[in-house]
Amino acid sequence: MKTPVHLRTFSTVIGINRRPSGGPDNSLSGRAQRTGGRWKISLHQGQEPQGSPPVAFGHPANKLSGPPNAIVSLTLRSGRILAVAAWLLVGHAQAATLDDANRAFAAGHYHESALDCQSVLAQNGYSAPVLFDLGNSFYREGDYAEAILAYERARWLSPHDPDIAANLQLARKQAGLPVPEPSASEKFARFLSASGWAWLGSGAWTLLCLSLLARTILPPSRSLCSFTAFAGVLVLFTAVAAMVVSSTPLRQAVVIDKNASALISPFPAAQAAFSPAPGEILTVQKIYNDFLFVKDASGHAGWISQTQIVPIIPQRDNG
Amino acid sequence: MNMRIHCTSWTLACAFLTALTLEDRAATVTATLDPPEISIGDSAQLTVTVSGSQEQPSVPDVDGLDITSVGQSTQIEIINGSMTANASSTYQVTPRHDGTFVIPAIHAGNAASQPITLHVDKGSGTAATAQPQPPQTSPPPGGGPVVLPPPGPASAPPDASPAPQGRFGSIEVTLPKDEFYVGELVPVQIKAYIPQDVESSVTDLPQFTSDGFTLNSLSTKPEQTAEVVNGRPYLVLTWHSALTGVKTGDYPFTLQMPLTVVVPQQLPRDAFNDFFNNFFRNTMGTKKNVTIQSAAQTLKVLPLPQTNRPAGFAGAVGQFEIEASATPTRVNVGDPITLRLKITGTGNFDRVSSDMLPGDSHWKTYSPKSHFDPSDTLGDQGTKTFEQPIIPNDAGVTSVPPVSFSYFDPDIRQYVTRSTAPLAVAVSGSPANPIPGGAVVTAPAPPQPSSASPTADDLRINRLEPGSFVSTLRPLYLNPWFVAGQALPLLALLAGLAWYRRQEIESQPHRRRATATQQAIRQQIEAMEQAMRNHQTDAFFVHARNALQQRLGQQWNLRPETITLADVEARLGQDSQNVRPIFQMADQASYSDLHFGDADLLQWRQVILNELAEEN
Repeated sequence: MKTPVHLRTFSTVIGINRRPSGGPDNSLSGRAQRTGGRWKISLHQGQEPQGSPPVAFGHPANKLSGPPNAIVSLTLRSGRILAVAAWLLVGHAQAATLDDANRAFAAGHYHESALDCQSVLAQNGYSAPVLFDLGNSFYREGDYAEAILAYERARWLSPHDPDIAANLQLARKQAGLPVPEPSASEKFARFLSASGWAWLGSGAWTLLCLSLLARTILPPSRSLCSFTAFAGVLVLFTAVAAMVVSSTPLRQAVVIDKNASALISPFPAAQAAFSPAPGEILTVQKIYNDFLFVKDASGHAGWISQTQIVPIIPQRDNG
Repeated sequence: MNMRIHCTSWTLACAFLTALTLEDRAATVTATLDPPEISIGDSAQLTVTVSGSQEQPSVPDVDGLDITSVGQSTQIEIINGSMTANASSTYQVTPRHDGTFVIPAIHAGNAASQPITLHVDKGSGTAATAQPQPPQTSPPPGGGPVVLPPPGPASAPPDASPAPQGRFGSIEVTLPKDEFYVGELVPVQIKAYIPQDVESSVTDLPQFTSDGFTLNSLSTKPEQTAEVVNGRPYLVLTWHSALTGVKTGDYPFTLQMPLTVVVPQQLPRDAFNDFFNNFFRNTMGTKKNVTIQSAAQTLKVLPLPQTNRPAGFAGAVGQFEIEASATPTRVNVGDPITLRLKITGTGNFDRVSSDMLPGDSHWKTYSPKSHFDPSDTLGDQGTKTFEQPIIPNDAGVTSVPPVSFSYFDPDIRQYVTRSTAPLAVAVSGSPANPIPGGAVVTAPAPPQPSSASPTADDLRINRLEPGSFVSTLRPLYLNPWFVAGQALPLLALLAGLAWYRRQEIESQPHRRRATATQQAIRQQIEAMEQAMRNHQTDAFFVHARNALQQRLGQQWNLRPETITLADVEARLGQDSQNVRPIFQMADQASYSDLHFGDADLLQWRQVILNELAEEN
């Protein structure tokens, strides 16, 4: 029963290669057919052969039709080969999709643009510019909660980017949320990303160890080595402090559900404690089954369903 | 099972011995009334105690008094081998009229009690205990509380035996009134009276049978008190909850609670006498499921009036006060202000809602969020706070418009609308970037994706290059490999220091030789001590000499094996008095056998170690 799982992966691949109507026809498309115990996979550049019924995967806009222009056709014996084919298809599609997203954005097709950005992220991992573009698409669409989530993630990767901060501020205003002024320590911590601070701290630690070694081995350079060791200690402590300050989003989540409600106990029938606004950032304190115990900036606390909020930093990545 | 048989046998034996012993003792009967003076409507408790006899007391009928048995108990005392059995019977004495009554002597076998007197007056009653009242079907005058008393009989489920009247307890429900409006939250007190002289266990919470109401969930930990009602001790479980009418009309209301009781088993009279019958009555019995319930009472749920119903009425029933505030009060155009509305009072807060401020050309508004802070356990009192983000669209705004809240007051039977005063705010700046869609967004609708789509604002433009990708958003310092990698610099430091020390040693010959000598001496001392343990005197001295040769060779810069006794005498002179014998012993051991005792070898060992230390 592995095949359906792979087929679902394949259908996702096909979904991200759809083209907006009227755009240049260089997209990749595909279809899967099962005959007996074998799967037949057909990949097409451009539109699908005539006479074949359109194949839809996921979103209704993903229907494929048109004249034949097949470039590859595979008959597969196992789901493993199917997965390889899907991976190859993803590799071909990467470079074009971000352009697609921007093109759709420029044409005012914000929903389509958002889907394209999500496809790029699903294929390649996270990138601050792509998350920024995704936030813009959601913003234009009017989905400020999703926009705030995308901007927060973009800022996590690139915290010193003024454009991300400006758009995040704009989205929060549009969502009717207060725009908190960052503290001095937060401003300083945003000089580098969390991983950037980790690299800096690691470098400082290495410098400290090497300086101590050199101080012993090279007595004539003892004063120089002492200075570098001191500098290493200073940078190490600075980096650790910045990592602590910038780690706040690790425990935060963005309210996505417009009807989100925090309950007084982690059961669906419990009474509501407070109703967080869409886009509001909550601090997650503990987990019980499908509920998270959260606090908002005003100190209101309650249990909220995991389906109503999305953590800024996912615990698992689909990379 | 063996334990049970053993206990039963022991109990029978005790009872048998008790019976035998009691045959020869003088029996006494005492009767007490508590209290001796009561009012009409109250009851007194008559306790008859029989000592030294297994006979049952016979309580005579008294004209004007109802005397009913409510329980029995038996107590056995063994003092210095003398056994005494006391059987107490408790009766409830209820007068039918006022006056003075004399209860004649109560007989138990040949013994009898003294007559006792009960005075009954016409007063309103002096008993301090709760008294179940007869069922009422109409509210008391003046709007006083309505008490639905226990109905008396405990109804048994179809598969259980019917319980005798009032035998297993009852439920009392207290409501402030029996007529209320749809949605109105009415506090209710539920008291379950469970007799303490009946072994019972509560199997479920009280349930009510009516489709016209909802009852707030009851706590599994009710208040527990003890009360004596009509001379009978009860465990009283009390719940405080609230009723809400959901449909208009007249509805019967009854509360039921299932119990499991142990019904005493009557033993055959021809097998044991009455004393044994009473003795085992409380220890043997069968479990039965019974249900106690309150009296059926009709409650009336009134509809909310249709006339004069305010447009913003959302179903709140009770008494409320409102208060509004806005922060901050000095903003620029486009900056959000939090408008806060506090509704405080008593009522059904789950129906208390407010759309707050609707949007217009001056204000862009969003749907408010709310939270409730109850001030009591019932949840019918407290403060519900609504918070609404509002954004001024132009600098001409000077105040936040009033906010209204409507509710129905059941006491005055009218709708009430309360409004806040306008809140002054100062808005500066010009609408250079007007909030798109601000004039058309109205509460309570949340921002709509399409209708409120921004078209002109300061949104920074898209990036064209995707930049570098990372597989995870989790920071590097949470990656186990990264954390483990931080050990590498430390390992490099330690390895470098070790390498440096070794290089340093190897680069200095005298230190290397000293290290080698020290190692050789250590080896010789170990060999010497091994020889000592093996009682090999000759080997002991040979290794001792070798160790000294190592030390002296280092000092004299000679090869250790070339140093002889003659060299020692020539170079050390008078100082060789300890070293010379060791060389001599070693030479002697080479040509003849030496045998020293352990004590001697130990002394020599100490001398050798001292010499090695001195020479060092």
